[in-house]
Amino acid sequence: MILILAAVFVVLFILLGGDRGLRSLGALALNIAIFLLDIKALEYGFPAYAVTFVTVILMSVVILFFQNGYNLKTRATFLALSLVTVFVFILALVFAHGAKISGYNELNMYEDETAMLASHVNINMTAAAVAMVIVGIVGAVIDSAMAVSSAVYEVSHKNPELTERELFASGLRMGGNIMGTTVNTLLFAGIGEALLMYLEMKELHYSIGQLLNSKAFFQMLFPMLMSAIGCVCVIPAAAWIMGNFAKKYD
Amino acid sequence: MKKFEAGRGKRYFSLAYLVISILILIGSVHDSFLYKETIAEVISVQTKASAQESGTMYEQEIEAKILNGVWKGEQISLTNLYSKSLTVDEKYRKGNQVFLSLSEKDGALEGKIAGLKRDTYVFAAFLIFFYFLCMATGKRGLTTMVSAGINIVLFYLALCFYEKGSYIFLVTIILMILFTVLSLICASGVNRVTQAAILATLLSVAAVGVIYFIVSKLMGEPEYFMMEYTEYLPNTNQFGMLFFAQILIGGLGAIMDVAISISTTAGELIFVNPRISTESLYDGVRNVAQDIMGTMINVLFLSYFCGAIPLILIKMINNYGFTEIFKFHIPFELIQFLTGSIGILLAIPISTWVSIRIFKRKGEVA
Repeated sequence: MILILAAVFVVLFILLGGDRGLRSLGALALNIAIFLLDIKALEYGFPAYAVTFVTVILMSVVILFFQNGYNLKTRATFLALSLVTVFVFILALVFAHGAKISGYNELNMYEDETAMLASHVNINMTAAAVAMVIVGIVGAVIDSAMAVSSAVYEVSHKNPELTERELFASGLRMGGNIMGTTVNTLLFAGIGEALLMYLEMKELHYSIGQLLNSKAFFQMLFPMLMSAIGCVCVIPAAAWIMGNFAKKYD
Repeated sequence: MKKFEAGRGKRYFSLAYLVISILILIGSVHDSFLYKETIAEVISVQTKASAQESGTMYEQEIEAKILNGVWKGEQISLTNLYSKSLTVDEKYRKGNQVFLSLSEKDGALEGKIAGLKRDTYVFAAFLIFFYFLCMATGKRGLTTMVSAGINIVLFYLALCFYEKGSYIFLVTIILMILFTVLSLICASGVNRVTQAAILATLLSVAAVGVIYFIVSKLMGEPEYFMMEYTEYLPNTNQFGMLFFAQILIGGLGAIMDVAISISTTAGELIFVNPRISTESLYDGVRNVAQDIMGTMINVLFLSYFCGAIPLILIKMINNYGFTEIFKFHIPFELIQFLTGSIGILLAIPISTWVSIRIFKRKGEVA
């Protein structure tokens, strides 16, 4: 069944994407490979944060420079992404240690399957949780950042007389336009993924207080909010960097 | 002058926001009286390591003060075990607030730690997000939050129906329609572009549903009982329907994103040149579509699979291979990713077609 769906996906991709579709498909394949390597490296016990940063850099190079080409826009996006990743990393560290989000939560700890797995692993699960958040934000943050830097680039191209400040303001406006849909994408992916978890909590008659304090809820919420924070923060970053680049290099 | 005032407004807003946030966070540290469950604050911890055959375990002797309920103010001794990897256990520090389950044995109070109190972190994460949203996007940030809030309420109502197990399919369809109409109107207002995007989104979601239905009937359905979080759900025969709802909801946001981008582009092209030919309209839209489809699919890929990293890791260490994991452990993430991506791809021709139809009907395309 997965194979059939995958086949439908690949055929549609090639039909609709044309030449660029093949390139995007290649980028996706590369990203899957990087993702698997990331997990392998974590399993071997390489330092989790170093592995994560290498993964983020590789993935963004693939998505930006391989898929979208090496140009002013992608360079600005890369820089904005790097800044935001460092910021979200610090934030995620604080939250992951403070709210203790590692490992199993109270709901999946007692599932049949879990009982069969040895829990003594040589990996710091808090680091794994932070790694998951940081790699997870890359896609969404690049999406927002690319939209903003493309828009600023177009505006500065068509109106060369605009100052850096005005370009920045126009980037922020553009960012405001896309933020609504970005938040929706993250929200629906988040609740769609966790529908059964919420249903199970309802079945167990969780109160609001229990929900807010449960590890399961925080494990769902944490990556989603960190992605959203990354997407929002990258808007001014990308607008400012692209504005400066456009003035400097054009 | 105007810019200066806007800057000052932002500064006042930031200051007020900071004060309110700190008040909320301080409040949430001291809100134990709101809970029925017993909460205690850790006042001292002593940890000692003990080597066991499966690895080093650490034992914590914890002194804690009860913050609410009948035993408020009393001190209690607790013990806690944890391993270095923190896979199934937690390590507590001085100052942590924890939930306790209490029992009285021979007149002495005994307690077990049930979990950490996390509400302060939940509020803090929301407050940080909301602050940046308002700073970067101004009033539109507020609209975004209102729309998200209404969607969450709708989702909650749907859960009530799902719990009863009645009309799951019907509720899912209604939920889809409400989600789409509400979110798109909040994101881009009441106009023809929104109208085209709503129609295109619903058609694409329906197409995804039909494709999944056909494929699952032809090829056999996945083994739904393998899904996570099904341990306490009573009606096993509804898992298929619930997974179907998960698929549709999960891809909805991304499909809406594509639909609104394409209908906006089509609308813009027609607005700039009302006499544009259908062919060049298709061309223009195709360029935009090819720009966004690659990135959108990467977004879906990363958001579905990164969430599974910790569990995949635990399984790999337990000597499962990649193929085994993909076949038996995360097929549901895979199916959701594939159907979501198919939705994104289908949304491209569907929204192009719908936009041209809608704008043409109004006689704007020659």
